[in-house]
Amino acid sequence: MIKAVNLTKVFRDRRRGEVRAVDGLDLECREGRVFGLLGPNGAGKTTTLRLLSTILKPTAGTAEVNGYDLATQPEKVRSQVGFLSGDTRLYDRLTPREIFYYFGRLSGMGDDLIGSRTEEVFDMLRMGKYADTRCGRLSSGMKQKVSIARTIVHDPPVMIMDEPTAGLDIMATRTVVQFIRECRDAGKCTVLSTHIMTEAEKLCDDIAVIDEGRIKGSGTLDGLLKKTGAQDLEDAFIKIVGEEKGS
Amino acid sequence: MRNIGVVYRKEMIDSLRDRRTIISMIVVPILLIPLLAIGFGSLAGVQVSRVRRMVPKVAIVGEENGPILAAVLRSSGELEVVEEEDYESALREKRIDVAVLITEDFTVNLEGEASGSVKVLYDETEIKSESGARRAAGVVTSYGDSVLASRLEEKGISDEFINPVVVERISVASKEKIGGMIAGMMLPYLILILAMTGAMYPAIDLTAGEKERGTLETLLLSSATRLELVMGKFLAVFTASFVTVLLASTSMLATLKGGIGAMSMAGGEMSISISPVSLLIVFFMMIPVCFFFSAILISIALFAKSYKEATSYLSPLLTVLIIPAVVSVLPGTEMGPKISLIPILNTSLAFKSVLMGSVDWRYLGVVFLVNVALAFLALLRAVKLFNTESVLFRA
Repeated sequence: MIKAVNLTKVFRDRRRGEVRAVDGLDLECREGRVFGLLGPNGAGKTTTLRLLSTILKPTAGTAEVNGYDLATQPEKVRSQVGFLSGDTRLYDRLTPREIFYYFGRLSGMGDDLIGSRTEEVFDMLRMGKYADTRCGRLSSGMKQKVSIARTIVHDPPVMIMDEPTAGLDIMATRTVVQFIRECRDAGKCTVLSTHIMTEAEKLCDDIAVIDEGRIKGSGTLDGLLKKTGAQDLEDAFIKIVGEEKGS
Repeated sequence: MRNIGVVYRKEMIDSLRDRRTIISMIVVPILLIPLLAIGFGSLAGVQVSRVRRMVPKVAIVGEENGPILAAVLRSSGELEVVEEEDYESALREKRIDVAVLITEDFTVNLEGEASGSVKVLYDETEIKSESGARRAAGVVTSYGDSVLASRLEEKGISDEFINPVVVERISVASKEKIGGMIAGMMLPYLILILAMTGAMYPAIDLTAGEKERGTLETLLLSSATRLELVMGKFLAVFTASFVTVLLASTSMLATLKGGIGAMSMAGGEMSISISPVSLLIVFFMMIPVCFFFSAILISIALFAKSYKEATSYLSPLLTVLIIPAVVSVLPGTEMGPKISLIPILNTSLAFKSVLMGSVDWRYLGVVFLVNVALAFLALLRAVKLFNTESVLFRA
């Protein structure tokens, strides 16, 4: 579903000069599986996910998302992807229903199809009560559900989630975790970046540890534990990125 | 391209729910002109009647040098003559408004058929003193006229003899043209400024505002192309700008027709009317101007990370706009081949001439094309910036 080869992103910063945020990254994520991208702050997780969702253009290398090329077919790639992160917020002056219709229409869906999809998704996430309340008046948990609904309006086969539980309370976190499981059960290819190790252990089928823009270790949870001789993922992570950084 | 319409519709709904946009796009253009008119009108009215009611205090210095003149000053009814020894400090301390100094040889000179000299001292920074000086001088001059009349009578010389040529100035401007001139002075200036202020808030809200609220990234993740997104946003800002212009012009016309406040004073007896054709031309000419303003405001606001930052970038633009708009209303600034190429100034001058009923189609065409060219350049810039990562994700 996602195959990245030598994916590279270089930023030019006035103070720091050239910054290689993502540096020759190769990765492969398959359908029906959750791929965990683990790394310390500033490791390049967000940049990688932004590259895969085409809001940033790679400096070198490329990737295919469900058969579409990042560089040459960015709109097609976005039509295959649902992207959820703490940076993707909602329009406070619109209602969840209006937001759902807006993003549905932008995906090329007709109003009839969006209508039936609204019922399906709003029922699944139990959003009926506040479907017509402006988002500015919703709680953070409700907003997170609206964000989830927004990402799946076009029923994308690929889900990309950048620290989707950051800053959420327990109930809202549960909703997200449940949603990730449902994505896997529905056969979607899910890429999840996080630095919450327990979350990764619970959810991820495949894991890659990224640091300084490069993949430092990858495999299944068992495979990584075996490779590093660690007891749990946290130990394995620290062994991979180095004691100094991990502490 | 269907997405342009989708984005446009959403941005319009979103903007119309924003109080700031409603104020700048609807409330200000409708209320500003009538309120300004009423404000200036009543202020001017109050000032005029205050000045009329004021009876300036006058000290006559050297009364013995011209007792007749002093008596005339006392009996004029326009001045209150008071006794003041030290007229200079009295003037400074505002105990008197004017001092009339009759020179020592005043009466002697008059009797000897020469000129008698009178000095009127006043403080030109004080309205009351200034108007008092005018009145005192008026009384003295009319006294001088009466002396002249009696001298002429004595010599048997007629009025016509000393006034061999009589000049009479007659204005041929129609009441409509005078009305157009008054409208032509105010309307272009206000329309241009309101076209920009009307576009300013939505331009910020739809770019820097989206960045600040974290919704821009959400939008960039949709399947729409960047071109579709920027065009939808641009059209929404353009609509806000043009609606502001339409509302402001309608409000201005209603104010003129209703003869409210300062407008009725300015208009007086004449009918201030702007022909529908002139107004249509102005609206048509405003299309590329609003287009240009919208695109340039979007381009600049897109750089900012927050609403506040964008406001500080855009506020100086209003000053930049005001300068050529003010220059255009200065007397003597006329449309010419070079001026027709200067943005803003050319448009303001074109509107002035259209409203005064003198339409030069060649210049109108040039001004229109200049504005269209600027509009497209600004729009290209906005589209380019919307594709620039360092602008969209400025850290």
